Amino acid sequence: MLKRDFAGGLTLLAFAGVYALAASNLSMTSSLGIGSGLFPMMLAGLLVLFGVAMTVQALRADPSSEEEEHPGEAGGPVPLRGILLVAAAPLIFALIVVPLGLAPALGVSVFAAALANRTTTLVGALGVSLAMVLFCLALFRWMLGLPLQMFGPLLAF
Amino acid sequence: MEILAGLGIGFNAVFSFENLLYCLVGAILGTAIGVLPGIGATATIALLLPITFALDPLPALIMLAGIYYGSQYGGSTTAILVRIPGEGSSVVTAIDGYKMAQKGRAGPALATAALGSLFAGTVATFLIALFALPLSHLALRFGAAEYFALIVLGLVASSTLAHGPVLKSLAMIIVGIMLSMVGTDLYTGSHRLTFGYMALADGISFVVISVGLFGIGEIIRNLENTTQQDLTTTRVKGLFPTLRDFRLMTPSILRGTAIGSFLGLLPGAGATLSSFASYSAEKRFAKGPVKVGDGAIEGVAGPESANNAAAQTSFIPMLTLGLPANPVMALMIGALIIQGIRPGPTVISSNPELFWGLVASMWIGNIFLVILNLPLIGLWVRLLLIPYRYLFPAIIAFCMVGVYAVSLSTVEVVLVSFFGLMGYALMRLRFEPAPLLMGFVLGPLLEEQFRRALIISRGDPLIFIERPISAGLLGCSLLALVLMALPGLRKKRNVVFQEPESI
Amino acid sequence: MIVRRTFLGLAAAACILTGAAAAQEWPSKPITLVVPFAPGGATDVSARILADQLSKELGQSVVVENRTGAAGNIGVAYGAAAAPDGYTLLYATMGTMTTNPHLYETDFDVMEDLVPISKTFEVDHVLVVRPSLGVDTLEELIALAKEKPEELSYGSAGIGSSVQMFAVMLEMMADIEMRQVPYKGSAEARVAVVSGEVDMVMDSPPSALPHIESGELVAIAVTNSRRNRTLPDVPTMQEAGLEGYEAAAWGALMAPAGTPDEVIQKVSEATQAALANEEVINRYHDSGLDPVSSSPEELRDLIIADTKRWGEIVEAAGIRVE
Repeated sequence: MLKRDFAGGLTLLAFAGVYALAASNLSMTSSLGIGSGLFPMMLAGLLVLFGVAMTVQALRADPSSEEEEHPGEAGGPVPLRGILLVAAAPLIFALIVVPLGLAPALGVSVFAAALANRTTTLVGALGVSLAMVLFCLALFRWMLGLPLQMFGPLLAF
Repeated sequence: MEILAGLGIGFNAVFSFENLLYCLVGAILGTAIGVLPGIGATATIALLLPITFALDPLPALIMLAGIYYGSQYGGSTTAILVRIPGEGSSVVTAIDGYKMAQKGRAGPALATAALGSLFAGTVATFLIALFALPLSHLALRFGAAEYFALIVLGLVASSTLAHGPVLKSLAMIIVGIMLSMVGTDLYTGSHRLTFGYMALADGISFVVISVGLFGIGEIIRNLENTTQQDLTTTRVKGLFPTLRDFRLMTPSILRGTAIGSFLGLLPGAGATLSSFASYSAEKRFAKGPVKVGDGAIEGVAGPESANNAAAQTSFIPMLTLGLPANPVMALMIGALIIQGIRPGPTVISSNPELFWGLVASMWIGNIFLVILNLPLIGLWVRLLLIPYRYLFPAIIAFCMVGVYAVSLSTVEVVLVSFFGLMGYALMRLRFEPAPLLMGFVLGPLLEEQFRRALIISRGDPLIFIERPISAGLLGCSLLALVLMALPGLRKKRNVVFQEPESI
Repeated sequence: MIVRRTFLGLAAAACILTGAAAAQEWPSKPITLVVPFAPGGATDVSARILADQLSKELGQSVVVENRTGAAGNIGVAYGAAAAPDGYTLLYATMGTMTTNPHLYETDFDVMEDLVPISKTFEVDHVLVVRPSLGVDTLEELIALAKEKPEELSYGSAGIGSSVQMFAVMLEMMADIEMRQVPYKGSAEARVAVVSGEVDMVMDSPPSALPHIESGELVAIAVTNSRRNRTLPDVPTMQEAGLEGYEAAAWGALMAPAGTPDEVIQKVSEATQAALANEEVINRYHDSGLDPVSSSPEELRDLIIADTKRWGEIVEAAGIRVE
């Protein structure tokens, strides 16, 4: 059995399932014939087929072939800290960009992202985030004159 | 020669110090913005377009051409350096280009992209000059059924896009199409899979998916490895292609130019397919020592040439029928309309200086791009020498600001995070993002043409095989599928007979 | 969104308190003109032409800001929720003001959240058919459609587009039934008629003109009550025998509800002056639009009338967004 492909097949099945559920309220027919739901459902069905095929293939495969396929590319341990902080950065940005403005949003989120790397010091992270704020300010606000608020309404008072 | 006189008219109209200066400024601005990850060519042009409104017609057009090439090339640069394609046409560039950059060959990759584009653009310009009129009606032979069949063929042929088994890349193409269904359904107006978010009513933007799957996903994967912290471990090996590189890329550029020139004549689907189609061709025909997909120069040269040739020949359907190949070209039509020039069958004869001026300015934009960027390659390559622990937060920063600046939507920024996680999960499971993005780009066209064909035939599916072009294309797809399944069968036999595989 | 609205609400409240005094010296800082469509399109271009001229008339720069998405609904919602201090104005269209509310659940109520300032442009459509259909007049077309119910097809530029609405209106008033084939935009729909994939489309006159001249399309009638400047030989629907058919898409300047009357009056006058400017008129014509201004009251009546009319058509034709 190939563990990775087995997991991959199951992931496809799960995605197809969730997708079909989300698309289940769309109608299959319309006044123009095919409705908006038919294509999504067909695709979900097709993906189920692929998912099943992959899972079955993985179960029957010879496990030793996994290493052969990608020698020396086993993949390190999952970088939990990295995932958490990198994924959090856009969320932080989205959360504070409207009330507080672009500058603080960018500063805080880049600071968090920089810390995703264990070897980065606090000073280093601070440096990167400050540099990015200044750079983006110069580029988007002063050079391009985009309607981006540097400091949001909460900081304006 | 009489036909080539048209080109002369164009160059006469365009060549002035002032016009060339506008073109240069456009190329510089386009490159500067387009190179930022998180801002694709379309967004770059949307951001910079208002600058051209203050100008006279011809300078505006030529500046737009400069911006177009600058942003396009800027997007390829991002794809090669940090593996974040800015739009559909640079997805495949990101595969081999990035691998080349990792091997210390970012310089040759960047130079190849620029030179391939220039060659393709030049050839396509002459093709337009020679055949614009006879070719102007090719697009009319393609109805909904034909476009549907063309996209199917493109998808099938390109399922070899990834490294792994065909099954995996087909699955990724389907996931990509599924994601592309999000948004307003053209036929019923209903909002599909938007979960009530208005920001999703126009679908997920390409840049969000690309930045998440490729960019953020790759960043997380690089964080796996605590010892190797820089993008390139090897030293930079030369900035320009070697003689051997030129020998390798020449046939690829020729193939790419031919494929792109033809597909560019079919607006919409054709131009979008060009870089994917050329990449599949390279997979099959490239004979270099490095396999396409592992950082082969052919994998950069072919698609970049195809893409540019298509952009150039797509002027024919754009100016005679008003059908733009991509959003950028749509803006160019807009620029023409502002001057009171309407696309139509007689536009070439009634407005020769504008038609040829546009063709010439695109070509000049291309030249400027090469002049501007060849010296810059050293600078781009040096960017990779920044320690990765400082580079990756900067990439994330640009992605976030870029996505937000263009859409002003926080939902899209949140999605970057979502697709980043998805991208990393896919990498762990050894699914490749390139076929997913291809499905995402072509999915809406596939559905749209399929449903339109059925509306026109009143639900009769025979329309796809009754029309000769459509039937032919679908037949080819079927053949391709069978041929693809064959090596798999053969391989199994080989294993049984313990024969070494020899290709 | 909720957070943003709260803040905007707070800001709005603050502005109302100081509004009366501020209106005296308005405009004292740059004005933002929200355009709900992407840069480069006809709506955006006309907004920018107007903004240029308004800057001159008002002595303050008027800056276009594109807030795009969801058939214009995102931009309109943004404009409607902006502080009503006269520094945010909205460039709306017939579709966003009068048909979208019937088709989509929107975050705004046109009558309650917005106040009219002035109409800005009008654009009529021309009904064109493929030459191989063999009809030259509206009468022949209607006869053919009656002879073959649900056989003729018309291209549309999507649900709720003026291209579709004007065709549905034709179906209803002529008592015929045809099939709709939606396309991504009017350019695609036009090419489909040229190539013979569909039978007809309601197109914008300057875009259709080159194809009419070359014989690739046959012009049947224009939708407005007067003939089109670029197609003087093509009859109006009424002249062609369809009594009461009169339709034109339009653009208009709106402001968030609560904007001081003095400001509305000032902008309205400045707009009327701007749209009477020779250069502005020429640039509008070049982009295929007729510059038309109006008083705030006339615009209000127009919105009410069109909302009612398209509502009836949407309902009667059973156009529904599931």
